[in-house]
Amino acid sequence: MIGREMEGDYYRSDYDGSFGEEVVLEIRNAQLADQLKDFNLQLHKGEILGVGGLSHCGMHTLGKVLFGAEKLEQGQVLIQTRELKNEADAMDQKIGYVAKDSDIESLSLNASIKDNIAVGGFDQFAVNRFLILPGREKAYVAKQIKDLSIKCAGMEYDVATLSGGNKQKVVFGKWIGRGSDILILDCPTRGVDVGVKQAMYQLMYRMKKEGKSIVIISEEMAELIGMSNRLLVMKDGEIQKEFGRDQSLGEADIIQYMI
Amino acid sequence: MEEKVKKSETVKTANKVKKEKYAIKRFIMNLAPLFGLLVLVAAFFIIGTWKEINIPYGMRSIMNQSVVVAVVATGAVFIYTLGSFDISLGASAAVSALLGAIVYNATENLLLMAAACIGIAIIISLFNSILASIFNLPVFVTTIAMLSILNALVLVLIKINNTGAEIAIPAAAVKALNTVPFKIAVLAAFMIFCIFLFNFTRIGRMQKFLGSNPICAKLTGISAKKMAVVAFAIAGAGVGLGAFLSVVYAPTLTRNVASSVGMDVIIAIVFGGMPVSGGARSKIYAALVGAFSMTFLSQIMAMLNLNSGYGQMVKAAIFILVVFLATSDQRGKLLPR
Repeated sequence: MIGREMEGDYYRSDYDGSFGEEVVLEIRNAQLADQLKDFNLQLHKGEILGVGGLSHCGMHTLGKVLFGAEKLEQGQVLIQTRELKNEADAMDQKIGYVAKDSDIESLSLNASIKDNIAVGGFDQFAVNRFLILPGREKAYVAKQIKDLSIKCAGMEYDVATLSGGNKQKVVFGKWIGRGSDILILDCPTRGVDVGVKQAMYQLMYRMKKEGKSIVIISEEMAELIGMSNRLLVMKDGEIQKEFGRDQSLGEADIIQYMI
Repeated sequence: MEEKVKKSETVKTANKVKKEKYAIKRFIMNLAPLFGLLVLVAAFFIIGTWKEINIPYGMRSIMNQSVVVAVVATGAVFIYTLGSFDISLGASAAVSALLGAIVYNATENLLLMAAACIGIAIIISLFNSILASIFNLPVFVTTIAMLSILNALVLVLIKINNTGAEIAIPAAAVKALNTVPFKIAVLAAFMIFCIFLFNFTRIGRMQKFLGSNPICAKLTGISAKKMAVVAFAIAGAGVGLGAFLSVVYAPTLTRNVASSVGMDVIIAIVFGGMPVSGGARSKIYAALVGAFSMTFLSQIMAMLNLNSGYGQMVKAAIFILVVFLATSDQRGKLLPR
């Protein structure tokens, strides 16, 4: 169906639910309208934390809050015990955020592939974080295109010309290229074919093994079960249930806490 | 295996063709405004020769008019790139020029006059963007209010100076600077500075990305407010330089000083091929190409004895046509932010 053969695992194959003890990102007593109610969460080093629920349960708001893009009415978002201020601060702290509506929130469709990847990494390749040398920029972008196997006719092409999967790879390139240690992924595989999905799952797993921390927010239960070390089920702005990584965990176990 | 290799080669060839077609389309689109300018230059020389006008004099006149518009438009590109809009640029140039002239009359120092023109224009521009930031309004809204204030200020300044209907500095004081090479040098220096900032620094690239998609830019850590302040400061510098050149060209300033600059800048930027919605395809040279195209067009119409009323109508019609053609694929995104 996808026009190529799939090899290897689809989700991660292990059922090792362990992760580091170090808390890298934390929400304490968060309150935000009906989206987050006295909400607490800890993300650990080397952890893939899944967050699932119905669309309006507050999980998408949670993603924005974790990236500093939504202000809390009460409570704090802490990065290594320091309060997170805004999106720029989150980027300085090596946090990346893939938004749910990628075409609107994570990409500029009328800009080139180069512009979309480079914008996340100016502080990585610009001389003194200011001067942009075309050679360095192209090398930086070309590496992301190669590493993520983005299928494009050239980096100068508009992102709008790419397929859904390759667009999403550009978004990943933007954040991975700058060496993000924490990734907040809101519906990362929405509108993506299974071949690209598999590649993304394997990439996430590889990052986890490298000690990176990932929050996957998703409405696809199979994805959460397949990838998470811990899985939180949200309803009406609260955590209803927490599951550990377990081979016997099924979608029905989760759904009963969602509705 | 053989089939796989064959398929891969077919994909590669298709990509190559696609790439070439894309490159050609881009090349044509980028060169269209320049081609338009060349056509206007050719028309100017042909009609000028046919009508037996003094072509060197006409060229000097075109240079004098174009340079002021080009300098102001070059700075204004930063604002347009954000998808924003400043309607008060002409009025700001007028106030800056008047205050610059007053400073000269008080100090008899040309450098201080230039510094006053540039400083005042930057302050006005920053005031626009900071006001918009405080009240959380689209910047173009504050520029509409600023237009009224500045127009009133022009009248107040002329009255305060107590010289009747004008403020003048001695023509001899600026005679040495009122040359085409000097004006071109000022324009070139400012353009080089802006091109560098726009294409080879983080600031310019962030401006373009912000103009392309403000939501995505915010979620990539780009502050729209900070970028607006930077864009308006650079635009202010352009307005200040334009004001200084206006005083150099016409040292007797009336209430009509730089009166057409604001509208000319808007039209010039669009003539030059700048996308109305700003963003990634914005380019500095649009200001230069557009300013010269517009002035050549005005001269051609003057040579054809079309009075300024008809001329304005033709300009307006061409403006609408250019915007229509340039935005045929993205209508609905045109309102300024």
